[in-house]
Amino acid sequence: MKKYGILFLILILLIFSGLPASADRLPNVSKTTNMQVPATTNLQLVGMMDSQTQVQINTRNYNSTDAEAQGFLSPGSTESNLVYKQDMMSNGGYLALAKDQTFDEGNQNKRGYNVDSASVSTYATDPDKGSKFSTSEQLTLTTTGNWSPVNETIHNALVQSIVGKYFGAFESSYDAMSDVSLTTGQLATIAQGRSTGYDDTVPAGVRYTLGIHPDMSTGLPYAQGSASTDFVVTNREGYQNTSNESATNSFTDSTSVNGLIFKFGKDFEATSGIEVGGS
Amino acid sequence: MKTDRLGRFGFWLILIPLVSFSIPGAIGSTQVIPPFDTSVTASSSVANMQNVAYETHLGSTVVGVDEDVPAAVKYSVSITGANRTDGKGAVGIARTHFAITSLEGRGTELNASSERVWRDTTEVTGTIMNLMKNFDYKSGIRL
Repeated sequence: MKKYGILFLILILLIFSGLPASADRLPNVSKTTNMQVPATTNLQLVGMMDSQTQVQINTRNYNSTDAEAQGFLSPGSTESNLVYKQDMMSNGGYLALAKDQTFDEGNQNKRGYNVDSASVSTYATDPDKGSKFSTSEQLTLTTTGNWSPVNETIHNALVQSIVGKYFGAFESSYDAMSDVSLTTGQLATIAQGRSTGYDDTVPAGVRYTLGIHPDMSTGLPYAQGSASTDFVVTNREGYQNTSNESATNSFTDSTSVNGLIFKFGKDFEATSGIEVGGS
Repeated sequence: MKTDRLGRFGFWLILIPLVSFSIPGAIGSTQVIPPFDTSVTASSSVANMQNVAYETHLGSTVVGVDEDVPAAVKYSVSITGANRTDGKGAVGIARTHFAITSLEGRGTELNASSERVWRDTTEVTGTIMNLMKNFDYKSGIRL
């Protein structure tokens, strides 16, 4: 038995939520098509595979047509763009894969997601070929909107007096990315994104979870390969109904591991919205 | 149970409802069904297959009693070894493809208020113990 340098990774848990001073307002879809697409995949294979999933949802709430023709969002207008991509590929070996992916374009509540994707892959290399299993996943949400009078946003005179006169303009971007390459082990990921809301109190949201574990059926106590994750949040916000920038927020996290992986876990969650009745 | 080339089974469906309509006499934009343009595709194929049990199910709703009935496409594929008890998988190449593109307006305005793309492609080669894909598309008017 050859000696390998052992990289011992204990669970890294990272939860990031609730950016201060950021207030994304999500656009609403126009209640027409209410499109829903649940899709599942189940695969047990000895051989090669290549698979791509791509989802893109662009939603716009424009208040009038004159301003956006010149490239500006008019007051009250919002836009969101949600992109999800998953590429998987193996050039041989033993693969078991289960995926459950739901795409719902409708307006979401605080717990709902427009893109909800969960997948678990268990892989073992073909030792004669030295085959690998590699995946790449990306979830990106961008939201932008101009300032909005509160009385057009919150239809309640009681809370209107608490919040002030306007919600400022905003521009936010949320990115969660991962690249994994394994010769043996199990990879589990969950990617969820929310880009349309029933009303302005539903926050924009991105959640990404990744875990790498040993494949217990092989008897090996580790997974082997490399993995990297990247999480990036940037946010800018204006003050009231002016074009003055009042806040910028940014957050980045990058991790990469390589070798014998006993356990590797990342959990990333970002939400941003208007909290009515909060401090 | 060996055939060098079992051929290529293709099963595809393209549904393109390309309709734009609005209800006249409505007051305000909330009374209008905005224009839309949607395309749904579901397909699967196999090549150079040996020892295969290949099963597909397709159901679609393209004509409704009224506008409350959603358009729907349901498609499922299952590929396994011909004899499910002997533990031997199907050998060959299998491919599946699903795609949706959709464009939607808001109120009576002609500018698109949302655009969506959903695509999924899978190709596997080798001994397929089990490949199962389910795809369930539904889209209608919520009154």
